[in-house]
Amino acid sequence: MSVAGAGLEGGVSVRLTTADGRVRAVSVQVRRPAAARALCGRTPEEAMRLVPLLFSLCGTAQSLAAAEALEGALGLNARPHAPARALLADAEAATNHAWQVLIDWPARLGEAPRPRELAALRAAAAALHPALYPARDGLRPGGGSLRPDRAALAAAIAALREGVERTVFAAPFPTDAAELERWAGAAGTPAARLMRRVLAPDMAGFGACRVPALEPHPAGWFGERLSADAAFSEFPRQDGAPAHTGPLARRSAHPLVAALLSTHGPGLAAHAAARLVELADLAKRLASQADRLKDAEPASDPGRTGHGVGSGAVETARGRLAHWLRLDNGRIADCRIVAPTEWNFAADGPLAAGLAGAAADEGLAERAGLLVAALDPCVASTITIQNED
Amino acid sequence: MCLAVPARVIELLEEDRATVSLGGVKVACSLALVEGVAVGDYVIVHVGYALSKLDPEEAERTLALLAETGTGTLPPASDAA
Repeated sequence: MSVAGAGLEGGVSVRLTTADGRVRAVSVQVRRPAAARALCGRTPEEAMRLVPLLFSLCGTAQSLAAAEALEGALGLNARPHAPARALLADAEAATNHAWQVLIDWPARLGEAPRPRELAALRAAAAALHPALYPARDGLRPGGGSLRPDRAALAAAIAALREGVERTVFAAPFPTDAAELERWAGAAGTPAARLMRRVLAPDMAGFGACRVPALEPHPAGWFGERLSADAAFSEFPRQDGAPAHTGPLARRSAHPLVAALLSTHGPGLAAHAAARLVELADLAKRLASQADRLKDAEPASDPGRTGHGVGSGAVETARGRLAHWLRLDNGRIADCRIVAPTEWNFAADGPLAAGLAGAAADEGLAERAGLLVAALDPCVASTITIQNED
Repeated sequence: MCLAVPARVIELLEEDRATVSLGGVKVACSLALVEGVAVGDYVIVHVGYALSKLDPEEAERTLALLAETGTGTLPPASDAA
């Protein structure tokens, strides 16, 4: 489909050069908007109003990362709001996984996408914020007035969970590799058909590479690096090397994912299974998180002078997102963001390494497309294959 | 990291689709994820789907902000997966 205006929101371009039946060269380029720049010069209040306007898919995660960074800079203690914030972040992550499973995966299989089902999940997730914070002030630095409406929360969480179970799994989610294979063969959902496709011998290990997982570093780890080097937001490094982030990095110890990793390596099968494991888990754990919520008030202002630095980190569907900022005279003097797409689509990152040397036959375009989807860029992507034989 | 660029709906099409103007470029998108969209409304578009409806004031503010920071002036890409 033509999306001519995609230039505005950024894009990932992948170019493969093939010769003698192999991928000989891989170029991965991310064109990203300089969104962090838009926050410079703003007061914390202005910035927090702008963040959800600037980011369409991950507005909650971006708001939470910015709020945490501002809380660090302002000396606000928002710990009583952590459980409610985790609930909001998890619900957004679940809907973003569902986007991939209900929109992107059917397209990869040549099937019709399922936007109606996704719309219902997004509506359920959107109902959580007002059910937690009646004044919709939960994403403010220091938190808002947390007054959980138990009935509204339970209804939204049930709708989310039931929707995921019906549209994605349509059966109890498998717990081991043998069950996964049975489910993939039997269940009538796009997720099951995609899983069956990537369990095929030519697919399961495709894209496996040695790029290590990004560790769940605390916000300060990112803050140190972002503050020391402005280029870190575009070219992030862990121990001087690239890393991958997202469901596979987080769920590699799950028995089902671990079994696929040991059989096929970190390729398409492990990626897809990790996403499904995580989606099932997110949908399940929302209810127990909600049970633990207690009322809370906004953090009291310690009356700092409006100078300071802070950092925030949030797990999103695509991986770990981090913000760092510096406040000067009550305004954001500098703000830097490193998003999962920068890790996963680095020039020498997991996509590039996973495609290097791959067999170049008529199935390459499909497999490369599935690997891009597995690493899930938050912007539109194009793949070009050039044969030099 | 995707940016939420407001697009103005210029024509409603069959099958829950619409033509929108995104930074002056006409793009077709699906309206299946949003309800009650009319010509003249602003929507946020992500890879071919309108995600949410914006009130015009919010949309103007975002567009002004994008123009101000230079993020709205990137050349358009030719196509997308």
